[in-house]
Order: sequence, then structure tokens, then C-alpha cells
Amino acid sequence: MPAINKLSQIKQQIKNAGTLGLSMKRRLFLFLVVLVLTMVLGVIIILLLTGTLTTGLDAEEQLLKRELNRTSRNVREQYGQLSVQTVEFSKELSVRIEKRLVEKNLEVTDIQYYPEVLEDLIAGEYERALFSLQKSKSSGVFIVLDATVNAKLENAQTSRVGLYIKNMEPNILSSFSPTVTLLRGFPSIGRNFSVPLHTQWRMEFDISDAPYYRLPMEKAVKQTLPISKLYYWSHPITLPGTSEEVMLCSVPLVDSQGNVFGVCGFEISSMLFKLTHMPDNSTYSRIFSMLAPVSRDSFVTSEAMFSGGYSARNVLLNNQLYCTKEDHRSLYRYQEEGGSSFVGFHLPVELYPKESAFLEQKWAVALLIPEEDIKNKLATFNLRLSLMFALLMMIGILISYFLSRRYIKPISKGLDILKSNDFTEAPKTKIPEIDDLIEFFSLRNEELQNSDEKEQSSEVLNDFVRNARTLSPAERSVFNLYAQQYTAKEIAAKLCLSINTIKTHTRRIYNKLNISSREELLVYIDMLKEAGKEFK
Amino acid sequence: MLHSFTKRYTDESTEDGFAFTFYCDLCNNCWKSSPISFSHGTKKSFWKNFFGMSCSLWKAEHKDAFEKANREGMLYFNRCTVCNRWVCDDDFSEEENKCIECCREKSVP
Repeated sequence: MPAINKLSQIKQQIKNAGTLGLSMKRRLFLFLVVLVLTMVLGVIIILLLTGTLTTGLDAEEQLLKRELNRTSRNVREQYGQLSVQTVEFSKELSVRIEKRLVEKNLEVTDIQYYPEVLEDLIAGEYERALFSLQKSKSSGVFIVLDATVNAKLENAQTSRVGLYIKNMEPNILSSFSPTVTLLRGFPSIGRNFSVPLHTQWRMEFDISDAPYYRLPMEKAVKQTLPISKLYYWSHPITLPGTSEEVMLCSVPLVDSQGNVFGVCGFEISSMLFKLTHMPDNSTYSRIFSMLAPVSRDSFVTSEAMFSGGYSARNVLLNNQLYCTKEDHRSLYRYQEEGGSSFVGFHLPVELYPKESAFLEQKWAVALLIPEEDIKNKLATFNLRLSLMFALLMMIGILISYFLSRRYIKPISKGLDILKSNDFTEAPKTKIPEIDDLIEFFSLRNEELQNSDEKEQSSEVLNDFVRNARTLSPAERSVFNLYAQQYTAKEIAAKLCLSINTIKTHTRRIYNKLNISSREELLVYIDMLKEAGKEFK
Repeated sequence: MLHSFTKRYTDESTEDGFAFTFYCDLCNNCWKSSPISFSHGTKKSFWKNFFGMSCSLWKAEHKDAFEKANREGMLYFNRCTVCNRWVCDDDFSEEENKCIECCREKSVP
């Protein structure tokens, strides 16, 4: 009910404002509020024009760019170093294998015909491979020879002998004795070198769908490029029997005659990639980096490596992520058809040198955030900014309210003093203009009072004269003597009347003249003299 | 001979003091003056001085007392502006400033 009463009061006040006008306090309050609003709006406009308001978004973009540059650099370094190490490993391995075969009076082209040498050959390279694995800081090393142990088996066409050592703790890169398992290779190697066999161990590689094996060898056969131009980075493949995705850098094994007899290389597992290229997620928890092959304007996400706290692979429905750029923003937009959308940046990364046999393969590193995260962040930023401006306006309005009250108070006090018409005891308002006004009105009031008094006294005198004309002759005689300042006794003696008679006359004179004493009578006489009035 | 302002007066003076009574010219209302003591007034001294110089002193003081009593008495009587008689307040008309007899005479056609 009090709220309803308050509302009706406010309505009445608004109605009154239309007819009577606004009070000084309200005018000043509204003026100050308008001033505050204008200033706040002005600040907002200035911030918008100078781009300060978009600093939040720019800061996000700068953050992403910095992080992307870092990730891109790290990817280039890691992949570049591993590529170099793979080439070195291949060269060394090729020489060693060729030498060992020569010792047995064999050539590399003979290994497919002499499967009995394969076990020793592979086992002889275990330690070297292990050492290379440790040195390369990769998650695995492999050697695949173009030969099989048992050519008579059904799948002999797609089975190749080799060695695959997996580092089970790729994140512990400085360990001198990494935890390794044998994923592929002769079981004797495991026994002899105390290497446990991987749960998905097979003795030989299945090369039915192994571009990491086929492509480098084909290129090596077809082209006369040096080994350094023949290394190949496979798209991520799932190791058979596992859910682990790996990228393999494989280089053909070529003897001194140019015969290609296998491939070797190193592995970067998805776990290693994730651990190595984890982006800073302190600002955005769902930020992730991606190394993906580029096909026209899209990223092939089905063949990408991911890193970050966000399981992008689980979210992405399609294989393609299309990239677009909006004019008013520097962030790129990455959109799946009918699927998720992200924002971020990307940079091409060169995995291959010039004149590489695989130069046509394009890769890029991208740093992405789900679009809604950016929107939420911006919304939060804008909301915070809006709240701050709203708070600023509220504080401004409150200050306006108190200032208007405080400013008007002495003016109202001054007006009250003026209305009271009593300026004698009026306290100072300490506002010079108002105090001057009060003094002016005070003087004016005095003048008016004096002129009123004069008028009044003139009227009173007139009444007196009029009344005096009503005196009887006897009273008049007594009155005249009173006017001459005779006492009653003197008048009695002078007029030869008794004192009682004089008293009676006196009483009658007083009644007629509306006076109550001889002194009053004398005052009137004096006033008449001053006014220059006489009566006869 | 002492002349009073009223037509009738009585002298109640004694060897010790002087006192007079003045009568209204129209009625028997009177006014008695305040007694004034004779400056040398004792019986012994009176008899001693009666045949001496105090007699004239007494007369002089008597005369003074009478004049003073006259002056005082005037304050208790009103002189009619027509007949000049000194009358008491009861026999005086303040409005007309006359004695009631003069007022009556005037009113009689």
C-alpha cells in the first residue's frame, strides 16, 4: 500500500509539474542527471571511436595469435628436427644394413629371398634404433624391410618384417631408460633385450594400407631425389589393434646402388603431440590446437592431430572444417557443414623442404576456440562494461540528487526568510546573492513600513482631528489647556472649575479622542505640530 | 475684610490654627479647608502675646491661611460662566459650563 501511495504521489507530482512547473530542486536534479548521462554517453562514444571498447576483442585476438605463433613454431621445430633425424637414421641404417649383408655376401635386394638373415639383421639394429628413439624424443621408431619371413603365408604379399619400438612414456623425454615395448619385431628381440611385447604386438607389419611404407619407396624408386627430399609424413593413422593415432615420418632405405629396400622412421603419437603442443588454456578452457592437412579452403579434420583440453575430435561430425573470414573482425571462422563452428587463426606449416617429393601436401596449424566461448566471453566483457557504465550513471544520479538537495537548501531557506517578512533576526545564508536580496527586501520592507506608518499616522491624526472637532466647548477649553501642557490642577484653577469637573471633562475628552492618558494626548499634539496640521 | 470666592464661608480659626469652610453659592454643600496651625500658637503664648506683637502675626497668618484656603477651595467648586457664582459639582453642568440655575433659566422659554 505504501508503494501504491508513493506511486500516486509521484503521478500527482508529475501532473502538477505540467501545470505548476517543476520546483528548483527537481530542475537542478534533472539538469545534473542530463549532464551525467551526457558525459557518460560522451565517454562511451569516445571509447568506441578510439577503438578502446573493442580492446577486449583485440586482446583476445592478440592472445590467440601469440599462442598460435608459439604452437606453429614448436610444430615446425619438432617435425623439422624429427624429419632431419629420420633422414639421418635412414642413411645410417641403410649403410649398416648394407654392410652387414655384404658381410654375408648378400645385397639388399636379396633379403626377400633369404628370410633366415632377417632376424639377425633386425635384431642387430635394435640398440641403434633404441638409441635413436631416445635421441629423437619421439614416441616410437620403426624399421620396415621389404621382405617377409614366410613368403608362403596367405598374407605374405602385405606382410613385411621389421622392428617397431614404442616409447610408452613419450612425455618423459629426458629419461635414459624409457619404458619401451615391442610393437613389431621378432619375439627373440624382446627376450634378448628384455623388452616386453606390446599388447597388440605382431611380428610383421601389415602394409595393405600403409602409405608410410608405400609412398616413400615409390618416390624413391621413381625419382632421383636425395633421401632428404624423400621423407614422408603420414596422415594420422590408427595403429592396428589400438585406438592410438600416430603420425609416422618415414624415409626410404636406399643402398649405395640406389636400391630401395625398406623404410624407417619415427613416430609422433597423438599423446606426444597433445603433451608437446598443449595451448595455454588459462583464458579459454576449450582452446585447442590442430595440425591438419589442408585441402583447398578446408582442413581435413579426420586426418588431424589435436592438442588441448577440449576433445574436438569427439565434437567434429564431419571431416571438413571450412575457413571463412569476416570483414569487421580479424579472427577466422571455421565451420563444419551442419556442425560446430569455431573461431581462431591458422598458419601454414611447411613439413617438407623445397623440391621434396611430397611438397604438394599442405599442412597448417590452427588454434581454435568454440565460437560460443568467444561470444560468451565478449558478452561477459560487454556485460561487465555495461554494468560499470550503469553503476557510473547510478552514482552520478545519486550525486546529482544529493547535490541538488544541498544546493537548493540555502536558497529555500532564503525564500522562507523572505516569505516570513521578518528580516530582523534573519540568519545569513552565506550565499551573497541571497543575502543581498534579503537585505534589499529588508530595507524595502522598512521603507514600506515607514510609509505605511506615515500613512497610518496621517490617518490616525486625521481621525484625531475629526474626533477633536466633536468636543464640546467646555471640553475644548480643557483640551486646549492640555495641549498647552497645563496640568489638570492648573486647568481647574485657570478655568475656575473644580477638579472633579476637570476630571469629568478629561474623561470625556479621552473617550472622544480614543486616548487613555495625558501623555498620549501630548504625543498627538506633537504629531499634529510635526505634520503641520492644526485644528480649530 | 477677607474676601472669599464663594459668597458664604465660615471662619473656624482659633488661636492655634486657621480653618475655613466654604459653601456652595446655591446649596449648603461645603468644603472645609485643611487646618493650618498658627506658628506661635499655644494658650500660654497666646495670652502672653495676645496683647503683644503676636496679634498682628496671627492676623497675617490668618490672612495667608484664608487666601490659601481660597485657592484650594476653588478647586472644589465651579464658577458659572453666566452668573459667576461658585457652585459645587452637584449644582454645576459640565457640558454647559453653567450652574444648574443658569441652565434652567436658559431652557425656560
